[in-house]
Amino acid sequence: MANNKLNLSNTIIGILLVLIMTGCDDDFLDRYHKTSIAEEQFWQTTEQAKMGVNGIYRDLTRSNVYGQYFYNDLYTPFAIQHAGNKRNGLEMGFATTRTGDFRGKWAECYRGIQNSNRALARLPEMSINDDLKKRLIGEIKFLRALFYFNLWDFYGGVPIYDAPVNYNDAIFPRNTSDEVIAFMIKDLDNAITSLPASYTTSDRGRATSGAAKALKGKIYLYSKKWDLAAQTFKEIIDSKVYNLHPVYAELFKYKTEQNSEVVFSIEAISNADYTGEISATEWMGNRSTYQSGFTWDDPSNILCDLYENKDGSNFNWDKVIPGFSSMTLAQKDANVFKKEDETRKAWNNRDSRMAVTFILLWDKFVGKDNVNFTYKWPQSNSDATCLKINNPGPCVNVWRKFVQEGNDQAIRFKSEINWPVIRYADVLLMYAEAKNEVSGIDATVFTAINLVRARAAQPLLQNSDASLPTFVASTDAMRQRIRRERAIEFAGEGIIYSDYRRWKIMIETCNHDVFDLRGSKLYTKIFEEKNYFWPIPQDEIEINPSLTQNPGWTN
Amino acid sequence: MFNPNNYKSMQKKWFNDEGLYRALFKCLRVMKLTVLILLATLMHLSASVYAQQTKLSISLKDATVRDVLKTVENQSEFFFLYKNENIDVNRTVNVDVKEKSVEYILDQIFKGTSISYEVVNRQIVLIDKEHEISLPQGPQQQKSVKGNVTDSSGGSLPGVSIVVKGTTTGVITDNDGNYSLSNIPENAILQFSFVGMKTQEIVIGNKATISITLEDEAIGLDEVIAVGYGTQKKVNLTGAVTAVKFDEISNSRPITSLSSGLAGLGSGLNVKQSSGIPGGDNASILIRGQGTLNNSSPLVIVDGVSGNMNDVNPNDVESISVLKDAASAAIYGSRAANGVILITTKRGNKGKVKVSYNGYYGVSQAAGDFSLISDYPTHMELMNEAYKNVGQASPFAQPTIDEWREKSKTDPILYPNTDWFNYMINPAPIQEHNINFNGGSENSQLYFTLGYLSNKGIVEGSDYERYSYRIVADTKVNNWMSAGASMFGYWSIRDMRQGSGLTSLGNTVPGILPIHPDGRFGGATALGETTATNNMLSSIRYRTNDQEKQKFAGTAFVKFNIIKGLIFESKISLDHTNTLTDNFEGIGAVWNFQTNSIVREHWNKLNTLGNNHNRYYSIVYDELLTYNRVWGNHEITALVGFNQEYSRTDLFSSSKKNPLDVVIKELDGYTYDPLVGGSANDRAIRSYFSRINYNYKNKYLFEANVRYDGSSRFSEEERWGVFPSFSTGWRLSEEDFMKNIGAVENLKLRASWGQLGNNSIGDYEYQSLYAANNYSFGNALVLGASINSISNPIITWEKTNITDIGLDFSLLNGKLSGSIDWFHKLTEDILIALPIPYANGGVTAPMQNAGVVKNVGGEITLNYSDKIGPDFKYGLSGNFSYTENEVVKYKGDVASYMDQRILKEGLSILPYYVREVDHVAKDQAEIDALIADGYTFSPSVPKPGDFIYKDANGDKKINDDDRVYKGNSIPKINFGLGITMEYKGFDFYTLLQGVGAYNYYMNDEYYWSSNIRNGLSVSKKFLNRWTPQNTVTNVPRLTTGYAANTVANDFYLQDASYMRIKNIQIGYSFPKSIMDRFKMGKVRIYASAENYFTFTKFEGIDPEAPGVAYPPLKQLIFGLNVTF
Repeated sequence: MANNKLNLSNTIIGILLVLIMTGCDDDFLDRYHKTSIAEEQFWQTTEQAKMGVNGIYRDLTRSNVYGQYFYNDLYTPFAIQHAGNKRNGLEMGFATTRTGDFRGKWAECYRGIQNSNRALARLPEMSINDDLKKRLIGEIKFLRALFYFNLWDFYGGVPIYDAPVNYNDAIFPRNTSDEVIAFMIKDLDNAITSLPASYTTSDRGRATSGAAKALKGKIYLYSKKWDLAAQTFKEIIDSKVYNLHPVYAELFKYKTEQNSEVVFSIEAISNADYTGEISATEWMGNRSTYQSGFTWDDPSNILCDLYENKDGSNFNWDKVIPGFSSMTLAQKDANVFKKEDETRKAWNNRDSRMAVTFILLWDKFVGKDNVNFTYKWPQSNSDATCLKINNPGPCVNVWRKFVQEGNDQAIRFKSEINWPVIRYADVLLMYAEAKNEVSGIDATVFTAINLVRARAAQPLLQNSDASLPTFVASTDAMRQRIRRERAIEFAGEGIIYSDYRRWKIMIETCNHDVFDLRGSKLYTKIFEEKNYFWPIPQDEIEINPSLTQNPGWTN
Repeated sequence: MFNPNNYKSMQKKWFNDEGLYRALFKCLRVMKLTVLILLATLMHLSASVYAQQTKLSISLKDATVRDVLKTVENQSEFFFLYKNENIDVNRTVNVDVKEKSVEYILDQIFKGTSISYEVVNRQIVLIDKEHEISLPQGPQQQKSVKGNVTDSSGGSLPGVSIVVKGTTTGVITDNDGNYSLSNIPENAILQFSFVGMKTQEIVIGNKATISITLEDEAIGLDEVIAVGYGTQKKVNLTGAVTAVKFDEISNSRPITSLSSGLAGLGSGLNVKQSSGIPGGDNASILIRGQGTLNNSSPLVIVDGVSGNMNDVNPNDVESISVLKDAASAAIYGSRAANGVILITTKRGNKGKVKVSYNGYYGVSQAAGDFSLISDYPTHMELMNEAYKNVGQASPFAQPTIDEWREKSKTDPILYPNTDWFNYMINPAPIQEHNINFNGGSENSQLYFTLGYLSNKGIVEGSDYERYSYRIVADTKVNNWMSAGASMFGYWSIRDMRQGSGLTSLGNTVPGILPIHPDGRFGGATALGETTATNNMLSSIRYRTNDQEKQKFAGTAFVKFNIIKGLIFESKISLDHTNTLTDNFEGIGAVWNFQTNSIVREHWNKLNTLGNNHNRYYSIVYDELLTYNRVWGNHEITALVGFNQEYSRTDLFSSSKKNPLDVVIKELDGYTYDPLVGGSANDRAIRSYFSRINYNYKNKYLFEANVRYDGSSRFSEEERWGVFPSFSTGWRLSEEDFMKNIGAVENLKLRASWGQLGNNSIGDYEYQSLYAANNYSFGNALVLGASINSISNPIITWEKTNITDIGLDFSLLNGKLSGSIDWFHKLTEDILIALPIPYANGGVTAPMQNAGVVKNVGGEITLNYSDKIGPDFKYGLSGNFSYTENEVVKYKGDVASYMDQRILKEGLSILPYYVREVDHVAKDQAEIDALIADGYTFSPSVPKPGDFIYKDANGDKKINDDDRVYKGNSIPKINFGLGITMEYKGFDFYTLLQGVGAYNYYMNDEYYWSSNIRNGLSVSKKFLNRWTPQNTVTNVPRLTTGYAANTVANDFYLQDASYMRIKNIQIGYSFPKSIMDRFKMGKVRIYASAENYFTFTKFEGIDPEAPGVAYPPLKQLIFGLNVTF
């Protein structure tokens, strides 16, 4: 009989099975993510502490935080949409509470805040070098304040989350504007005492005590606490840590962007492993840049006309091209803009910052493959050295500021130019503004604004010779000069939108038809009272009904 | 000589094994299954001397033989094996022994009878010597008979058993279907029987040759269908199982992916093929509606191993079972909540090797049209109108438009009006060839198939080619061991340039010449046209993107008959897929031929080559112990099993720029900017399961299942789940009171309840993770890390409770059969990524066990088949399902919104939530009147040509609060109807399929929305838009970037119900007489039309693929099916 065989085989099989099954370890079902570190294993080492904080800096580069901050100018009189490239309809009055940007900024700012809160919950418990720990905590507090500042600037009072929260419990009601201010000031005071005034090269770009002070001053300024603002800015000026960089143009060049004028910048490099994305070159740039930009928006005629003549007087088309304002579109086209010499008359005698900020019609631009392009009108496709813009049509100047030249910027959408958040020129002009409100046009006000003008080689403002265009006699007049100076100095940098809203002058300045240089109507800008604050995203209110909507916004 | 009795008695024999039985359960309680098996085998080894050593003491008076045997079994470890009908166990005997061997006792009680015994280890087999003498040798006249047996298609049938009725004498037919019998009485009756065929009886009489044709058994009561880890007679099923008929008819359809071939074939199935793109045309399947808010795809088991049904060549499919209720699916426990689809593939048959070929050739066409405006001047005017309507400058000057209109009549090169749809979409050939070999000896069988599919897409850049194979070998080593192995796989090459959709068809304008006769590509030409607009042809031609897939999968098993009825099976399966993608992006320009200048160069500054590798593998172990026992009217089948699966995916990507020459397509020939990336993920599951079936007289049926599953997708505390089910059936037709109702062949009531699980979420969702988020300081990269998605550590299985009540019937001699089911499916702890507050940072939301969903519905399946006259056969097979769902628990009054849909307690799953359009405002006067009446509007006050929405809540504020629930995003009704007819070699088949109560929201920018954009196409629908001249219309004015007419509203909500004639085919099989002359078995030629007619109100391209997708294809094919 086959029984012995049968039994033997069964035994072998049985043993094999036992082996197979006991060979399966108890951790067979434990499977871990292959490219990340579990939270329990994080916040253990010095390196991880730094990495965790660096990760929060990266949140600043998200497109609705600072990654595409230049878009803000589109909502002001100073930039216009190019060939129908609406950002979100906000500047044309038809944005709704569900418009993506409103949700985007809200979410991305809170992303930085929640990452800050998680870090602040773990860092104090870590056993790492105490000085480093103190500095890192200070950095986080600065960053958290900066994220709150962005929210507060655009939405007003927002819910304050100061510690990690379960995702379903992130339904706090709004805090008042004053509560948010107090919260930010507290964070910044901690940062001011914890942070160094400067870093060595390898850490350049981290938050400094000066940056924390400047942000603190800005918050006071925005909330019209003029004396506190002036006092804070004076401390910065007196510290002598910062200077205006002598060449305005170099502020926006990759190789010279690190200089003593930088108070706080978003760092950018064009490296595939750098996950941040400052995409200014891509959106502001033209088709002749190395990575073929989109010319998404253009500087407006209003902005271009704002640049003074070299003697400090206001620019007037009719003075450089007699009869210009009474010409027809066709005449302007044929007699002015198609002729380089005629067009140049309008650009020749102007504030030096103008040619730095714009590629004016008939200007040169060193684009891809280091070709020296000329921005001709009209553009010619067959002319290889003619600078090309996306969707040609309107006769406009285009951006030069933040647009990389030659074959820099190896990766599309990743500009190498740091994005300035606060630079010393801003500190000076903010000081001038605050001080002007506190004490009127005293010498310190003139000194501050004139430092900025002198760098641009514009004649200094004064209150002694009324015959000169630089004569400023009153607080009111000085306020207007400062406002104009800010628009020019910071053109394309996105902050004038915040200024115009805090000055509450949007309604009178931002409701008008938009034209190209020849006077061809492009579209109409609309600004209503409700637009002073962005709406709380409707999707968020639906999840968190305790949030109240900003006035004027309905779903 | 073959002894048919040995076969028949297998089922009837029972062995008494209480000792082992007790030990078995004791073991089960305390140790792992495998240890038990080890012990069981060791027990056998040590038993040989047992019989001599064991002494028994028994004292019984007037006891039955049965009692004596029982007593022996109780006192010892012996157990007895005997045939009930041969051994008279009710005979009374007296026994009085002390310390005697078992032989002594048996000699006593069987003294004077013909019964002898044989001791094999601890088994004692009782034999009736008289029965061993098989035939009484009488003086009857003896004769011989021979013949041949064929099936209804004329093929010879090997393995048919032929028995002289009333005796054990018999033979089986050989490989050619021949048999011969000698020494049989003249008056004998021959019984011909074969599985799946009707048994026939023939009186021999004076015939020397008897050749017969066996007919297929009509929907037989003996039909066996696949269930989890085994098979079951259909009549004894207590669960809701649909056996999908997938046979020659299905294989005469151009089914390029198995999943899409299931549409209309079974009740409770919703099959949706959302794209016809070759190589990506698989369908998504729902069983009994959407049971969860999460992934609702059913578990697919191919030959016992979880897999992807689209990897299976439809020609290899033997059977498909759809397990719909908890009773039938619970054996798969944790992943079975959405139902299970069991696919069994063909294996080798005994007998002569058969070769068959099935192939077709045909033409594919798009099943619908986008209907975009192709007259460029009209396009430009509409664009101008849209921009003007929102106060923006018109992109095109009127002279440009006029010039185009005039000159395009004579110069279509410089002034093209390209109809991109008709230019790009062209009929394309499709062909498929399959050849298979099938046959073997009594002990070893082989099956293999080679298949080739070539599906040229209807758009350039979407070709697909596949070479597939399957090899199956089975062998019976001896009477207690068998083994088998199968291997299958394919090698496919897919041109991926077309991606999955046809968005680039809308991302263009008619004013672009696809290609100049000199080979240059056209670009934006008219002044004002956006230079970014696409030339679809150039974007295909400047690239290559080939995806090569190599799949290899194999299974090997070994099976042991440990003791009668107890079978152990061990199986290992390996699946391995390599996917290689080469992606070349070339530099290329598009031209304005009017100015003879380049409009735009390709984004890339440099030619770029990408090379990606994706490797997937899985290893699955299965151990299965099954036990079957019948005694008297009782039958028990039980199984216990173990299963574990591990699978892993590895991704590697690389790219480099600037080749030495564009013909070079390998990375080493590129010079600049190398980039690499890589990642991996894995998952594991381990399970223990058991099932027990019991039936009494095949009349009262009972089944219970339980599965215990652990998944790596949940944390250690949450990962294990128990999933039980119970079901019962009552075959009324077996009751005496039904016996005399002749028309009723089978009538069965069944009911089941069970709980199933679902874990179809990402692999590491419970883990909170810090991922790289780098930044830079001092112009140098630094490492950064942060949490990019929020995790929820306490997630666990979804639990689905299903109650099912059903009725199966077979009436009118099996002509009419069918089943009716009612089910109630309640899914709790649904895993879903609910929208979370944006204050969390807008990061990916975590999965949560949130909410309860209920699905209630009914299904009916009816089959009818009959003959008219001797030659005309016909059959109808229909199914209809209705499912109503409801979100029972969610977040109280708080809703979540997903696009235009709403998720809220008390509603169905994600109905559309939209404003209702009252009408399109004719003029300013009526808007002024509304304002004067106190109405306010959001997002903006309407202008003439805008929608006036209904004030649903009557608050005079027209805003999103006026939205109403409208339309289903999940179809409630699914139906299918197959009709077959046969007449003298001709056959006809048609399949109708459809869904009802289904809606779709059309909001693609260039396809349907009233917001259009320069550079994108415009739908013809807007030819009837509101204009100051055309004020009476339901189509709003054209705008760009304008919110008021595109907030969620019912203008865009379409009824997407449809009925489609999925397939019509006509075939002809040549008569056997002709085929025999050519030594052919069967030859059938056919013509088949797929997806040819659709009846729907839907206005988009296709209700099944409603978006801007690659449309489903309609095909007309001609095929040939040969067997020899």
